[in-house]
Amino acid sequence: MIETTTMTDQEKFILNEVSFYYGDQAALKQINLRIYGNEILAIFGPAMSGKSTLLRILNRLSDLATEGRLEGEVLLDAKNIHDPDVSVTQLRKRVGIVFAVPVPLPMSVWENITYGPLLSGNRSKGKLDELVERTLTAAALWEEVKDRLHEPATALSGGQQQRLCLARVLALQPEVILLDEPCSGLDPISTMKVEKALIALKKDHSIVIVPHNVQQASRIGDKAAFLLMGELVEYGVAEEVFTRPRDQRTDDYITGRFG
Amino acid sequence: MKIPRYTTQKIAFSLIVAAGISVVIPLVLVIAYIIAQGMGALGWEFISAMPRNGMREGGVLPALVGTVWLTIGTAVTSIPLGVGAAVYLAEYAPDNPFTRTIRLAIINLAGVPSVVYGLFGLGLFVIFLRFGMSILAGSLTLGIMTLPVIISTTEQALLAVPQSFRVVNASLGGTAWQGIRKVILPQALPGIMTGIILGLERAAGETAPILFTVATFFLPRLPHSAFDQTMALPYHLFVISTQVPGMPIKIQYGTALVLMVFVLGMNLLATLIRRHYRRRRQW
Repeated sequence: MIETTTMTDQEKFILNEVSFYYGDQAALKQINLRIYGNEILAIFGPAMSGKSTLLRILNRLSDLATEGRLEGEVLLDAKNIHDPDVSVTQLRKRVGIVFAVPVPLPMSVWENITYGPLLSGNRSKGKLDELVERTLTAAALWEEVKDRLHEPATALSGGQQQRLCLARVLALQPEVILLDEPCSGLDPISTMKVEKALIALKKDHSIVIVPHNVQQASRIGDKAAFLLMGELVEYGVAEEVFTRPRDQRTDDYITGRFG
Repeated sequence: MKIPRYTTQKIAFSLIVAAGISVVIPLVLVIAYIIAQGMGALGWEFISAMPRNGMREGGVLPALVGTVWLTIGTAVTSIPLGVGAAVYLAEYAPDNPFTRTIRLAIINLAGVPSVVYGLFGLGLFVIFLRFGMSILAGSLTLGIMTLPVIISTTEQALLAVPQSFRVVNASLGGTAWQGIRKVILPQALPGIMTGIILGLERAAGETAPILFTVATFFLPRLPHSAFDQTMALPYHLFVISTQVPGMPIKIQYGTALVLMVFVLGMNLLATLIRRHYRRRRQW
């Protein structure tokens, strides 16, 4: 069931009947989902519900899973991302991801941010300097590290490392940003900084976030999707999902009756 | 009767410490003995002159130079192959019958006695490929013997680099090779260096593999090319200890001392290089 006919310019991703298996274990079951440009989609649900797997399918990091198997189709700008003529490295530049645990590469702050851009060809140092400043500013980290650009990135605090990883993804100039619990290890102040940065980034990007709790989902999500045991239970405008959920299971989860 | 657990801890601890100390004792004794016996022979002449009077006088220059060349030759042949094979096994190879065969081969190579490598080198390089008894044949033989050490230590060093770096590289649009070159190999370098030096040290001290492939009994001139034969320190030591009557003890131990200093010097060099990389990286 390909629905390209109903596609509008606004739709970045369309998932048609997407299932994903680790061996015999189904992590996602027949997901149908549309992800739009210039808004934040919050995917929430209990542990092991397939949220991280869903994110990783969008930029084919799921390819790295041994024994992983995908069914259904994933369209980015109406183009199937598994088509043989799609370059997976190019796809990952268009669809960047920030992980739950920040992993700075064992290099300086500056080298971490320029790592992605330098992979696809040389650019002048001046341009790269400008890129470093712009992305660090967008990730609300510039003021804190502008004098430490050439120090090891591992010397930064956890919250700073997480914003560095966000800046590193921004340096790819992606169209879509995926965030897998980007605030799980952060204190409230760092969390606030990241959330503010994300809302500002909506202007130029689609953002898909797995928030670390329901509160964060309702704070920053424009759309919300509730996953349970690999099944997409509910999807809609965030405000409606969180105030008037249609499905009893969603209601139970957000009111804290389970999960 | 129940021994109090504090006492049993004391006993266990003493035994462990004793085990630790007894590892150091033989090394210290060997070094001290060789220094005591061989120091008298050492001097500028000993490492810069040709042997004279049936090797009973003079120096060990041709043997020292031969060993240096053989070590370099071993490095040239074994490092690219060994590191390359390890990168393939650690980073690319899927688990299938083919790669399991490779791993089995490496384990078995490590178990082959060195004298068998010597015979193999004689058959393949010296006779079949017509390299003759030469530094080339000796280096290739020692290189093959060194491969398993380099491969297994390099693979361990690569596997010790966190998997998350590979995922991050992929997520930023890097190919596997870009990740290996820019992140994984630099991280693994100190461990790889250690493996290489360990392998080369062993090669530098081996006698059996060079016995039939390059080493000569007595050749008081320096090699001119890779196709020359040469003397080498381990074989020279064997010769002057067993084959030459009336050999002064201090010449024998002096030769042993030179060989030991050469090998320990490589060890020291490896430590310095490792520390240099650690300091430069700062993490």
